[in-house]
Amino acid sequence: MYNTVNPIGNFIADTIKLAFSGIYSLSNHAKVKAAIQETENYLLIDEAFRENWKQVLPAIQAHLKQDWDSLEQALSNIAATQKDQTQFMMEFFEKLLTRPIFMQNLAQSLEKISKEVIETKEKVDKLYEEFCKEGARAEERHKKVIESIAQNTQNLLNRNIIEKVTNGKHAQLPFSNIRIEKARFTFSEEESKTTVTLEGIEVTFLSKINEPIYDHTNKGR
Amino acid sequence: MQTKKMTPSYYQLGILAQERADWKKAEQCFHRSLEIKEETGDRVGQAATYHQLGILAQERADWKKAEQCFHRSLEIKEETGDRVGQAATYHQLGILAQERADWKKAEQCFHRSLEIQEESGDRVGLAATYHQLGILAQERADWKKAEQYFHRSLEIKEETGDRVGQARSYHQMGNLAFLRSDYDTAEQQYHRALSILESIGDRAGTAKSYHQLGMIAHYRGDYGTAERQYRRALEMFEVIGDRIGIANSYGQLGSLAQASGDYDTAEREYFRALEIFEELGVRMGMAASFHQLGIIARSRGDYDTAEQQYRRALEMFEEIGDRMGMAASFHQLGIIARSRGDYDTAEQQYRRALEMFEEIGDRMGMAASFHQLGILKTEQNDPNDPKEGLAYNLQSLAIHTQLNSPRIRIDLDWLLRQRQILGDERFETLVTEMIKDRESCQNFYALMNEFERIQKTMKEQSHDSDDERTT
Repeated sequence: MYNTVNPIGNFIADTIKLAFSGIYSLSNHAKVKAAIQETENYLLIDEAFRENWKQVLPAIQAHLKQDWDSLEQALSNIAATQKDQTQFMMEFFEKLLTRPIFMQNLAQSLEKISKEVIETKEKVDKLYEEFCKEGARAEERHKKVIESIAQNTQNLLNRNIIEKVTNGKHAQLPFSNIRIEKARFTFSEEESKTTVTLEGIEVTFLSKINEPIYDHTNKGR
Repeated sequence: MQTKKMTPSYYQLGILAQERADWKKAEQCFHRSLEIKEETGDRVGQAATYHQLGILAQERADWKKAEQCFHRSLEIKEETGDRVGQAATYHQLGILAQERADWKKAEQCFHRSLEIQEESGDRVGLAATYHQLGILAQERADWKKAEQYFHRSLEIKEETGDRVGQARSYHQMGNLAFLRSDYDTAEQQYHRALSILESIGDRAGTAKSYHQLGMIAHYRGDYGTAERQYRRALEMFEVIGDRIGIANSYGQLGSLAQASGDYDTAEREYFRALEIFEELGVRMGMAASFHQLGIIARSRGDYDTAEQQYRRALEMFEEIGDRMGMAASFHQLGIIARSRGDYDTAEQQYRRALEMFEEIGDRMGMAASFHQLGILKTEQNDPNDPKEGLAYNLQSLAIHTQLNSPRIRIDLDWLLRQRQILGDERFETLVTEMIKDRESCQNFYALMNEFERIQKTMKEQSHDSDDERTT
């Protein structure tokens, strides 16, 4: 799934890739911040994970500032404190990968760059260059997104969908006057254990009952 | 003389066996009856027996044989001028076309049948044909029309005292409520059908009602009950040799395994279902299997395979005009695009799905689209201001609370994240802007607090057990 030779390099690259592939924003740094924010949301759940993150974060921050000396220092710190760096990173990633939303983005990008081992500062530079280019492309895409949203909103208005669901009060927000009904059940502990996953739509294998017409021509003869 | 007396006996025995879903015995009886009728030159009787053999083949999903039998029966009926019989056979040819998802042909056949039935005052036939027109409308997601047809059919059945027919109407009205996500009504209707079907020993119908009750439990998150009901139905389908029923059971058991995260079992069940559907040429079932296999591939992170499967399913749904299926495919393709970071495509697909769900009145589907659009907007926009995303997620929650769906917890989980990003104060301001009435606000915070409390308890328990392990 991911390269164990240089997992930290991979992780940094991934975080950046995640940033520009996953979150559209006009500011490059905002994207990375968003990626960090998303990761940090998971940190709230797992204390051990948080400890690991604390060690990785300085490396990412150094990279963002293009402060290569600090980056080297941060990487050395990780190497110094971890007896088995590869094992540590594997565990770290495994924990990351058990988080469903993050996994969706991260697992895919990890797989893609598993061949791109980043061993030197030059390679990191090259990646940063790509990052900047991708940032520009992302801006282009962002424009398209805005155009497409405008078009879709117009389409929705034409179809009266927004009016229907919002009782016509969509001027300020997509929806207002949302009605929330009283819960008719309490959350059981069992339910809370269930992993909260992305909501896909399944199709069902419905059993219908046809109404055949028997031919009773012979009946009673 | 003796032979002539025996013919209707074999014929009636066949019908009896057929009504009890003992299809092997029914086939033996009809063939014996046919032999005697051919010997004695009884053309009317032959036409009736071919008709019954057609229904028998149809019930076993042997479409080719069914078609041959019906055409043979129709030929003789036209020759003998039997109008009522012709209406019955057109009706069956309509069901056959329906099973093959040829809606146009099905509609033509039913209307032909209806015309003759009205002309001849055949009330029983009329009720049956209205029922089928209801199923046809239901399969095209025209729920209003379906409801009208089912009610019309039920009215006639009540007038004529047709109990079996009433049970069938209740079952289909249950299906209609189920598709509209009104599970309480659906459950009531299935139970009404079941009590009649069990009392008259209709095993085929009983199995189908159990299957549907399993689906209700499944959607309510009561997986234990769901599995028991599916297995009960499967056993009955196996005994009576209903292969479509068996495939449907495999499909739902797959879906159940999938809900519990057991993807290997789910995949195995879907392939078992697919094999039967492919063998029988049931395109609706094939499309459903491809769709579900796509979900499994996505859950495993194999987006390319997932996309392939969704597109195969979509093609079939489009071909057979199943708008619910199409909407589900668009939704899933949106999720794939989002997973790949292609937000433009994701949004387009979600909106296509939303439009269709809205059009057909599928509220669960609409909630799913709102939920996904909420996630998309939260990720797309400024992460410090997920206002638009919050609105979509609240809309999804609103529908889920109305339907009393356990999916409420998915919305709440996401809303808790949004609160973390926004901070309590801003979150509350926005929520108050969007949920204007006081009661809704109270309900919302009651839900959030309860959900948060349970999450905290679970977290503490998990820490305690970790501590115990360390000590």
